[in-house]
Amino acid sequence: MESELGLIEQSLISSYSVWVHEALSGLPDSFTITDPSISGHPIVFASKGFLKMSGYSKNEVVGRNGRVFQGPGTCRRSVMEVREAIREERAVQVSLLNYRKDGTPFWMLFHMCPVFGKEDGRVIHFVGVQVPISRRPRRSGGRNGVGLCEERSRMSEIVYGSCRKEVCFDSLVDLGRVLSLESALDDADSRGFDIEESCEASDVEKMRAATAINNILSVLTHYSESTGRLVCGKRCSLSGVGLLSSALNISLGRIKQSFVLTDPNLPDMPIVYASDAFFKLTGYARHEVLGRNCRILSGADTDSSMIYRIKESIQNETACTVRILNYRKDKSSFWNLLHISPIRNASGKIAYFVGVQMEEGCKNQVGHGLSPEMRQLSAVGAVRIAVRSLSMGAGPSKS
Amino acid sequence: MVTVKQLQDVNFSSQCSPFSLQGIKIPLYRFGSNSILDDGCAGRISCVLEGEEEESVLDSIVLAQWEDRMWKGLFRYDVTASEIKFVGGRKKFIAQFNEGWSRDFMPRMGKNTSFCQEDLFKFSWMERQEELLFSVASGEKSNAELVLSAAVPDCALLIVINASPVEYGHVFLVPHGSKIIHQFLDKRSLELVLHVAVEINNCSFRLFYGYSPSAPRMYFQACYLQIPLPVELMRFDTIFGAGKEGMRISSVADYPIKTLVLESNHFKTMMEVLAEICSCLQEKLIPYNLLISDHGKRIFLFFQLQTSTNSILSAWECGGYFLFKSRSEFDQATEEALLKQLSTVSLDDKGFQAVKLLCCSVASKFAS
Repeated sequence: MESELGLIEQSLISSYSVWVHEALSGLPDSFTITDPSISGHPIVFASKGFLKMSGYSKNEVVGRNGRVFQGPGTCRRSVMEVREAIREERAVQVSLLNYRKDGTPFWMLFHMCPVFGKEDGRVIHFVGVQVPISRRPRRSGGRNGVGLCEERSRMSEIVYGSCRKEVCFDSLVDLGRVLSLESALDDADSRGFDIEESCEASDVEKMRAATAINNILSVLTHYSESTGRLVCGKRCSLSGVGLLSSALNISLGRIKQSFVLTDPNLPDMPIVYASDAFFKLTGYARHEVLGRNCRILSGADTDSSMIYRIKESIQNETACTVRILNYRKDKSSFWNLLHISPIRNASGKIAYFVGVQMEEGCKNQVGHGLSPEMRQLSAVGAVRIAVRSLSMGAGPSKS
Repeated sequence: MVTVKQLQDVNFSSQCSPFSLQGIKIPLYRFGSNSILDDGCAGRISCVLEGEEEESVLDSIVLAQWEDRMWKGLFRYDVTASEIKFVGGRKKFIAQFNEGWSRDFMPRMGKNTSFCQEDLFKFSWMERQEELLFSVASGEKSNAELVLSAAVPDCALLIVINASPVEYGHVFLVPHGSKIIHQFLDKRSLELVLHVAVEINNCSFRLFYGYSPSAPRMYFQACYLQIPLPVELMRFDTIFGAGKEGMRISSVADYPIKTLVLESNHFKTMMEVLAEICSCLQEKLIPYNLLISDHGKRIFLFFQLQTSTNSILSAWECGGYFLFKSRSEFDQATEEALLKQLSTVSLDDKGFQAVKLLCCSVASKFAS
């Protein structure tokens, strides 16, 4: 079984070879790389510059989701913008209020972009660059008068106007020097300046983020050549058949029950998604089940009439629950209380069938007071919601 | 952690209740007393990206119960079979083609504006018990608790399916209790509803409410929407901000219907301010709609003109989600037409100015 830690470690190596870490470590920028195909969409790489800026150690960051850096003052709308960009698998640039490990907030320009597989168009990773922003509020509102904002803005200019230029044009400058100034300014913030006041990045900062993204992408592209799985910053081909969007992967990743999605529109209805709990239950690894039919779970004593019932309900596009004898990878068997249901996308058509497994008599399912049947049904509901907006098109623009 | 036990019939008085729940036993979810809401801890819940949050017990109950009723065929149609799309244009309005949907199937609650409470509910829960999913109430125990079968306690929220769902998971949240004045949104009911929004911990979950002096409603509605509503992606202009701990009020810029957004990470502040604002609006007979999103941290207030006709839009329509009963209407929906539909019912500038002042003055009362 592939452990989660193993998945995280392998995430970069399998796409860009073992040498990529060293090359990425040579970049001065503050950035993180996340893998949407792993449950929880965790960070799989954090640069030195990022660790310095956030105050976290590598072990505290890798494997966790980017949300740990957000806090009470983080603008919900900006977070939504990032979420939308992930859903649509496109780049985004927003100002975000993030929090260091010690709890102090700081403004940064967050520039995120997807890394696509050249061959199948799948999103392999998301790269996120963080550029600290010197405070220059977009608009003054509420109680924080214009005067304060302007004063603050002028102060930034005075403190490190020239230093900032160095950062922009000399990528080798020690980020730490700027960062210490940055935190000195943040102290000023807490004295009569509302840090939550929205803040916009300058063109120079935006350019700096874009440059960093390009540098990282060129490293990734270069090293992907050695694995034969080429990546690129722009989608070169349409998403291949049977591939799930990263947004769907992320939504499905939060469902804790054992389940698979199969695609009835492909020959032999292959598995296109399987949850972590499924791997745990069956002993199979991801690459051993994706693309294969669910019959890998059947064995010598599996009742064929049950298989017939499943086929029937798939044909009739209805839901069904069966008790069926299944086999793990190690050939040990278990009674599976299997619930199957068609799942529809934005067009209202059946995109997948979901199969939620429940091992009969299994005691170690943490139910929080919910019966196993309820947990099974809640998983079906969660899958329906995740797939509901899938392939949602836009109508003709007539306005 | 949540514990389970079977409860015997607790003393249950239905004397003042507008509808009888005598003898009915359904699952009961009791909030824990030391929940995330206490002393501003809600502020510490980090802001999460979709799909990256843990599934909560309350979320699982709603989903499991709803899916169970779908399996039993209690809905008039399978809402996931109805097509949805973005309407071309900049606002990204959402359109759904749904032949089966009808406003008329909303329960007739509060239709009669007299205080004769017996008339409020036109149907008996006994006959439609299957539509009752579970009830939610506050609890004394430190942790949340799920009781699989219990009588509905006084001062609870009934979670009931809408047999004509607008989206997956569409439910009514109906305040139930002896002290509830059904024509008005009271603070206790509001607290329960907001608590549900927080504890369900799913950013797809949206809650809706509509108030109109001619047809006051005593229930909330909710459903799951994976994609953001157009209004949630609009730019805000902050008009009131009470520092780090307090409440922020903004007006939504460049949106056809006059809208305010309340934002706070602190449950108590949000609840107090919202309850007061709602009560002021109701006192002045100003119609409004509520959209509660983002785990109860962002609440949108839509303001419609008070008209004699009953063309009051629902909160999801105000948010930019429209249902079409005919194929041709769905196909021909344009942003222009929807913008017009919203702007014609919107409160005017002068009225909005007054409402803004009202909301800010309420918020400033709680700011100190």
